[in-house]
Order: sequence, then structure tokens, then C-alpha cells
Amino acid sequence: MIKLERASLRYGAVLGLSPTSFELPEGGGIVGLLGPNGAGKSTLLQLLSGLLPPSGGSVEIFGQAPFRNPEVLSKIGLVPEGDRLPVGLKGRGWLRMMGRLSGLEGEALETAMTKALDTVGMSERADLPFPRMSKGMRQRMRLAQALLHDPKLLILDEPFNGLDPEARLTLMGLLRDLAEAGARVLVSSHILTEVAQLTDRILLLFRGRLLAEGSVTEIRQLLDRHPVELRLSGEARALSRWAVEQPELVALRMEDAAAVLSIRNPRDFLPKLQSEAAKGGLPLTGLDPLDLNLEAVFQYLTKDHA
Amino acid sequence: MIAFESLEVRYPGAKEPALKGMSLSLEDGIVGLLGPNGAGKSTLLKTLLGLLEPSAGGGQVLGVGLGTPAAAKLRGRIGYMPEYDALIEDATAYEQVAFWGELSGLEPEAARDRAHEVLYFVGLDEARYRAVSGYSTGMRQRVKLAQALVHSPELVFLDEPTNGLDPEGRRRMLDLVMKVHAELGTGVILASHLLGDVERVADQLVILDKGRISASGSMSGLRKALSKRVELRFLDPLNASQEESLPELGALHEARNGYYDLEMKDADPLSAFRWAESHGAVLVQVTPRHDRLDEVLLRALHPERSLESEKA
Amino acid sequence: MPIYAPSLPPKPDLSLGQPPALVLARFDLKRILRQKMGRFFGFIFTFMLIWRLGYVYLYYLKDQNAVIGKMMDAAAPVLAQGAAWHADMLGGWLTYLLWFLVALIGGGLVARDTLYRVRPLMYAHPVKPSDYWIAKLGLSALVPFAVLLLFALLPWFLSVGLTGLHGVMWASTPLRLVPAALIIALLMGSVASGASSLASTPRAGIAWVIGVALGLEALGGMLFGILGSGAWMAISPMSLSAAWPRLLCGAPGGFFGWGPTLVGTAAHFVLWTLLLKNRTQPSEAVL
Repeated sequence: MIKLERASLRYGAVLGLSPTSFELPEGGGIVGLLGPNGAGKSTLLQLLSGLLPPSGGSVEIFGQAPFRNPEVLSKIGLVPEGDRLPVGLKGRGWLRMMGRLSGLEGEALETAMTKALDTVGMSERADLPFPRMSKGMRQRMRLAQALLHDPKLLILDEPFNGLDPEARLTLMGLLRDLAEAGARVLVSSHILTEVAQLTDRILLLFRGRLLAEGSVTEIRQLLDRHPVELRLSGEARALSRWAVEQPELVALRMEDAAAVLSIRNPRDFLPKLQSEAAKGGLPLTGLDPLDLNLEAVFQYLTKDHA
Repeated sequence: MIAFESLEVRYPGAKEPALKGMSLSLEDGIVGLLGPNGAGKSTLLKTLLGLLEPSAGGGQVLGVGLGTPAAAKLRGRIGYMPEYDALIEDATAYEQVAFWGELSGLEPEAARDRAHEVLYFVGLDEARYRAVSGYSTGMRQRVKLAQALVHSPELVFLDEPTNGLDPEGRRRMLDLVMKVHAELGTGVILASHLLGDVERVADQLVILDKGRISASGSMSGLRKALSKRVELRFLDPLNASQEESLPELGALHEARNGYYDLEMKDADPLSAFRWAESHGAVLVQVTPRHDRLDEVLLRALHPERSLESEKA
Repeated sequence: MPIYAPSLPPKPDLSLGQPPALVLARFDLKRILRQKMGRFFGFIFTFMLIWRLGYVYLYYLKDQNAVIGKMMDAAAPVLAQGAAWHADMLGGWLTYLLWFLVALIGGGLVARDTLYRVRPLMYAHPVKPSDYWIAKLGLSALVPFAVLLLFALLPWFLSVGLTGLHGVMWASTPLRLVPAALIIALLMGSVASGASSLASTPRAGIAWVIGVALGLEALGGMLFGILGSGAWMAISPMSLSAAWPRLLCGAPGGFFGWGPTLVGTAAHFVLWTLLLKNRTQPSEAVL
């Protein structure tokens, strides 16, 4: 669906994106686009949404280059960053105007608008002027705009910025529903906890390069330089006595009612732990992997490549 | 730290009070303040600073009764880090932090010393002698934090301190917030839209909605453990037959991003290991399922919805 | 051999600080002094001051040197002296330049805080609204007052020093010029800080002050021309600032007398101060 081959972008002397290659297969689901400030997230989104041509290499979406290509662009919905909407217009009027701009007319336009507004849950409030809408409502209108032509690929740049917690949760639910209905959703965000709530699949950019692509659990297992930290709850001393016998153990820390183990090769260690626990040989009440999450993966990856 | 008794605050000339019958008691610690835009956060802040007086009810902040003459002096004992960029762009970080210290009542000499100290505390070492107009977002946020701490307040109000920061910057800012309480012993009120931030640092929670308190209390009290509920994660994604036999272990509430939220038949967590062992799966996570912060929030904001679902 | 704690020392005493208005004014003064315009104005004002001092010295030489005396007598019809000359110590180009200087300094004082949005944060500190506007008005009046005071006193000191109390400058000159300097400075300060509160950037603030000063001067002139009464010129703060030394020295001429001057000055001072006060209330600041 998305295929980049050594695609790069420079703005004069300024680097936007170093030559980057990756491929996202056809199919629905949410992908989180992550990276520190200036890592090239916005550049990548601009390349993907066809706003800019790559300075080198190629970008292909649905098998074609998206730049100035209406055939591809009609399959892409874009929600750019920010909260800029025309002050004088009402929601529905603006939506109609945007629909006309993307070539929808008459009956088809009205049906598309009704459907998009329904999806984002704004059918009843779409006649409010923008200044009277809350930030969350405006963001949903912007999403409705991107959904008008029923895109197969939906691109959102920092869509949660400035929203209050409830509006965030609503928008997350919407994105999940869209992804389940078969759209590929690409969301850039700075807030790791939110991306983790949304999806397991990430694209991690760093210093203009793609650092990792895939599911968090898979990526974490590739980072074998960092032992996995496991917190085993239960009777700490008995758990530790068993753990020190294991060759995978690198370090051990005792807590009140838990032992925290640093483990290499979790693929060897975890089955042993499990069978020992299943046999009833361990006073184990819980198992919590402390750094098998997006936050840890992000930190390890960016630190290792800094 | 803070105790309100059916506190009502009304803006002069306003029909409706902005804060309605607020009863609240907060202990020294880090308090997360959540709520939609316009829920009354800034009114609460102005009340704490003694800029607004209660129109009914009353309360105490740092042992000072609101509405008493002494409340005007509260401002010297409270630090405030605004959400927006309240920086003097053409001054250096050091100059302006010293300036804010003097405005809080420090003598010039003491203000200069304190300015250096808090700038070290927030991690601005050499950059303090440069004009802040050239600072990155992370550095700007740290100047704003230093400014709120320079007079060694007993309570700081931090309004969206992680705004605009990238993951690394956010992590560092949250670490600093925890350090403010742990090392300086300053009480913290953290107003944020990010549940993840609040979850990470706060030990108490206040949820505001339309000028009322929808929920408040200690984090552990609000995020109750759900009995027999566990969250499971496996080393490799479960295959179809494994997923089909999950009900042997318990009723599945939700499966998302590789996490399985299960209500176990048997309260013993070891049964999960036994199930995995007999079905050829490898567990990496078995943790008791607590209320998530988003669930706490939605329940507080929409009590009618949870009642309905209970009836259903 | 103790290990000293790396964290912050004990709580400082918050009661020893200076009054907030003074802190605010000092901080702004430091910023003004850092700007480069001091050199330009410093040069011009020094030149003007030397010119006026030279004049006083020339009158002293008249009695000392017969040749110069004769020349001065011959030139007497074109050489200014007496009341008009005294009033001119604080008049002419000096007031125009001072208005310009005050616009550059005072025009940005309030507007800069608006632009950087620091005022709400100030009111979150123990700063009262009165502290704020007193500091801003005070500083933008202090700068012109300091300059005017030099022009009011230095020539007089020279004259008294050279020829005693019966020299070319009257003994009563400071009693007339110092109050004039004070009134002019307050007028300038209130107009500048008041107009600055209308603007949202320092540049716009400077433009506001210059616009108010020049615009009212032009409007006054127009009304004077149309309606034929010189009293209309009293709506212009520039004309007012020129009128005060003239009236206090009893110099003839001018378009309007004591009445319009008093009313105009008081009106301007009250209007701009109220404006400044109302536009810098804590309620104006959405925290």
C-alpha cells in the first residue's frame, strides 16, 4: 500500500528526511508515527500525502506516486496539524466547500457529508459556526473533511494536540473504529502513552532516518542489547533463590513483595518460568515486564542511536 | 495542603458561580487536576492565589483561610507555571528568574542567588546567560518551572508543563515534577490534559467538570483493583485455536494490541500459567487489572452512563 | 568531613524585598539602558545642553570683554533673552526630541508585557495593579524628567556661578523651570504608558505614542485654523508641554493661556492614566 524506496527530502540546505525505505502492506489498522522534534515526521507525512515530491528516490502509494496525482490523492484523507479553520463559516458550509474542492457534487456530496458527519458524531452540531465549537468538535469536523471521499489511507498529524482528555478518548475511539472498518490510519504523535493505547504498530523516525518499523513487542525483542526487566510478584526471597539458578539472569533487585530480574534471552527464560509456576513450584502471584512497552522501546532506540 | 468546604466562587457580575459548592481536601503531595476546557481550572487557580474571593462557603490553603486579609499574601507562598509562554523574550533566563524572585519579595541579592540555584535545579546550566528567545520548547518550559520555584513556595500550580514537548522532553519534565515534590518538599498541583502524565506522577486526583468536583481522592483509592480481573500478554500472538480456548480461563472483556483483559474463573493467578502451559502459549504478563485513568475520568464525567450500563 | 547536601538551601525570607513597583521599574530601566538609543539621544542632548550653556557663557563674556560686549549689543535685537529665553531652556527642539525619546521608551513598556503575556503572571505574584501602573508611568516620566532637570538647572548653576544671582539668568529660574519639567514629564509619561497599553506589540506602542502626539498636534492646528481659537491647540500634548515653561516664566506669546493649559494637561493626565489603569487590570488577564 505504502512503499518508499530511498525517498528523501531536502529543503534547500535543510534536511527533512534522509533516504528512507519501508513498506506498509495493504490492510487496515493504525500505525503510530513517532520521533523527537525535528526527526522528519511532518516531512514524511507531506511526502505520503502528496503535498511535496521527494528530492530523491520514490514514494508509491497504491502503486503510484502521490504528488499531484488525483487518482492516488482521492484515496488519501489528510488531517493536517493545528486548529486552523475559517472563522466566518459554519461547519456544514465549510465541509460542503471542501467536498466541492475534491470533486464531489450534488447528491453524492450530500450523501458523503451525511456519512462523514455521522461517523464523527457531529450530525446534530455541524451547523454551529467554528468559533462556537469546542476544540474537540473542531477536530472532529476536520476529520469529517478527510473522510468525505471515503479514503483507504487516513493521515493525521498530531491530531490530539490541545484536546481535553475526553475529546482525546472520543477521537481515539473514532480512529479505532475507522481502522476496524478497513482503513489504514497513520497517526503522528508526541504522546507515547496515547499511541500505545491506540496501536501496537509504530514507525519510529530519528534524525531524518527511519529507525524501526513494526510491533512494539517485536522491536523490543530485537533490542537484545538491553536485558528485559521482569517484576515477579510474590515471596521475593523464594523467587530470587530460583532465579539465581537461571543462566539468563543478569541482575536481580529485591522489592517488598517482588523480585525484579534482568533477563537475557526471554524466549528461553519465560517458558522455564511458566512451567515452573504451572507446576506450583514458585510462589508467584504476578508477572510484569517493566520495559516491554512503547516508552522503553522509544527510549532505548533513540539513546542507542544518539 | 488544601481544604474547601462547599466553596462557591462567583465572578463579579456573573449570573452563575464559576465554582459551585466545592468540598475538597488534598494532602501534601502531587495532585493531578483533570477536566475539560472551561471546567473551572483557572477560576480555581485564581482562588488559590487570592485573586478571587469565595462568595459562599470557605476553605483553607496552606493553613490560611480564603477571603481573610491574610489570603492576599498567599501569592508569595504559591508558585505558578502558566500554560502559555509567559517569558520575557529579550531577557536571559537568569535575569528573568531573578526578577520574578524579587517580585515575590526576595531582596535583590537573595533573588540572584536563588535564580542560579533553581536554574541548576531544572537543568539549565550555561544557557541561563542567553536570551530565552533562542531557547527550545523544553528549555522554555524549564525556565517557566524555575520561575515558579524561585521563591521556594510551599505549593506550585503547574499548568500543562509538558505542552509541546517531545517524548524525551516530556519524560524529563515529569521527572522534574516528581523531584520538585521529593527534593524540595513542595506540594504540586498538576493540571494536564494528558492522562498518561497524571498517571505517572500524581498521587492524588481531582476531576473538575462545569465548576464542580466530579471526583477526588488518592490515586490508589480511585483506581480500584477489579476483582479477579487480570491483564495478560503473550510472547507471540495467540493463534485462533488458542484464542478460542481462552474462555476456559475466564470471560474475555477486551482484547486489544496483544493485551487480553480477562475475568478469571479462578482467583489464583497461577491458573493463567497453567492454562498457557497446556495450550502452548508463553505468558509475559499477568497483572491484576486496575481501573484505568480514562475509565475513572469517564465515570466521573458521565455518572449517568455507568448507571445505565449497570442496569443493563 | 561532611557531605554537603546538593539540594536547595533553606527557605529565604520573603519580607525583605523591595516594593514591587520599584522592582518592576528597575527591571525595565535595565532593559532600556541596554538598548542602543541612549547614544543617539545622549549625543544630541549633550550638544543642545552645551549650546545653551555656551549662550550663558557668552552673556558672561559680554561684561568681561569690550569687543564681545559691543558685538553683543549690536546683535541684541536678534539675540533672545529675558522670559522667552528662559522658557526656551525647556522648549523648542528639546521637547520634540523628548517626545520622540519617550515614545521609544514608554511606548514599549506596557505593550511588551502584553506581547510576551507576562502581566497575568505578575498578578500571580504579590503585585497589585497599582504597583504595575505606577511603575510604568513612573519610569516613562522619570526619563524625560531627568533630562529636563539638567536643562533647567545646569545653565542656571553656570550663570549663578559666573555672575552671581544677578546674572543673565534670574534667581527664580529653578522655581519656574523645575515645576515645569515635572509637569511635562508627568504628561509625557502618562501619554506614553497609556498609549502603550492600547498596543499589543512594542512597535505598535511606539507608533501609538508618536501618532497621538503628532495627530493631536495636527488636529489642534486644524481646529485652530477653522474655529479661530488658539485654545484648541490645548488638546495637543506637545503644545501643552511647550506652554508650561512659557507660562511659568511669564513669557509672552503662545496660542493659549493658563486656563486651557491647566484643563488640557489635567485632562490628558487623567485620561491616559485611567486608560493605563483599566487596561492592565488582573481581570483583563485570562490566567
